[in-house]
Amino acid sequence: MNKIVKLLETLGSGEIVPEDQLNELTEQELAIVSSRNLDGLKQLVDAPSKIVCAIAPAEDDEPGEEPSEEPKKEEEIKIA
Amino acid sequence: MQVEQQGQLICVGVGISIGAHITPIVKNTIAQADIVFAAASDGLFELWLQDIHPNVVSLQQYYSEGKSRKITYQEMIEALLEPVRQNKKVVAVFYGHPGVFVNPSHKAIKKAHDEGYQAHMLPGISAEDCLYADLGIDPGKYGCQHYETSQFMFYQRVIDSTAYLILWQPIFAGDRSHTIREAKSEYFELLKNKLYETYPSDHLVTIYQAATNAFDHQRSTKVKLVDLNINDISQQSTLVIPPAKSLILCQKMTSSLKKAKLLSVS
Repeated sequence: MNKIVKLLETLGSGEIVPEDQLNELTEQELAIVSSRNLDGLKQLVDAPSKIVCAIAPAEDDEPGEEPSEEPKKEEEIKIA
Repeated sequence: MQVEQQGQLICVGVGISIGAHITPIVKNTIAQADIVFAAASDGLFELWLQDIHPNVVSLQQYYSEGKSRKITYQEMIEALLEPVRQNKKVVAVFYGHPGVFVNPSHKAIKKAHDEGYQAHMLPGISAEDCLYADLGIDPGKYGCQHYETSQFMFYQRVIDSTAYLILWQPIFAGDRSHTIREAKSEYFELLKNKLYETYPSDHLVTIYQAATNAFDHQRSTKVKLVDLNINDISQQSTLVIPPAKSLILCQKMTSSLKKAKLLSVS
């Protein structure tokens, strides 16, 4: 794993970052990490800049189509 | 009766923030996969997902300029199922919760079941969960309505202005083609006009965005509805519209409870 990404993972988990992990960083990396420079960090690890963040359509099925989740029958509701 | 095949599909959520929200079962499930497909919310998240297993395929490749996202989602479903049909254990990793405002996960699981394969979902911390924590909202206090923004615009809804209204993906407001990537102000104005039917123009709304890593911070900006500007909305933004009216007691139910001697006063 990329050491910067690994550091983000460790920090995200709430763990204390082991000294070894910090010692692996170069001065430039350490400076960016210390200043919490997110844009610099993305540049440093060459993170993809064009990411589409959308995985739900406004309209799934054709309008008027029956919902996929069928309502429970009365008997099933009673048993539950 | 269908014979169950060996291939398997598991859709998992890794939460919103790198390393912070991933659950032990999701982590172990990913580790045991033959192949992992990943849908990320930003560049660093994409790198993290690509690093958590030696065989990770990004689902970003299915998006392209001018292409309907509906086609993209269909292609994602097929990509997930292809190795399942080759009897592989496939794990599809989605940011947030894999079943909340996510189309390909539900459909791929259904298709896998239809074809006789095992498939299930493991939940993750969603943007909605982060929103409640960051903004101090309890959805049980006044009630909460959630809509995909464009769907909210296209269809008739009975808006309850005594409850919260939360609109997801406002950046795609009004886009029926599912092709736009950037906000269009003319569509956004139509959304505001729809909201004016229920809310006063000076009603304060919140533009919210959850933090995606330890160096990031949650963003929440309160603006008057009239001042809501599309330029302040990103792909990760959510619109939170608080109640505009107080809860109104249902007199009919109160009378019925009294009549049935079921009304106790605390």
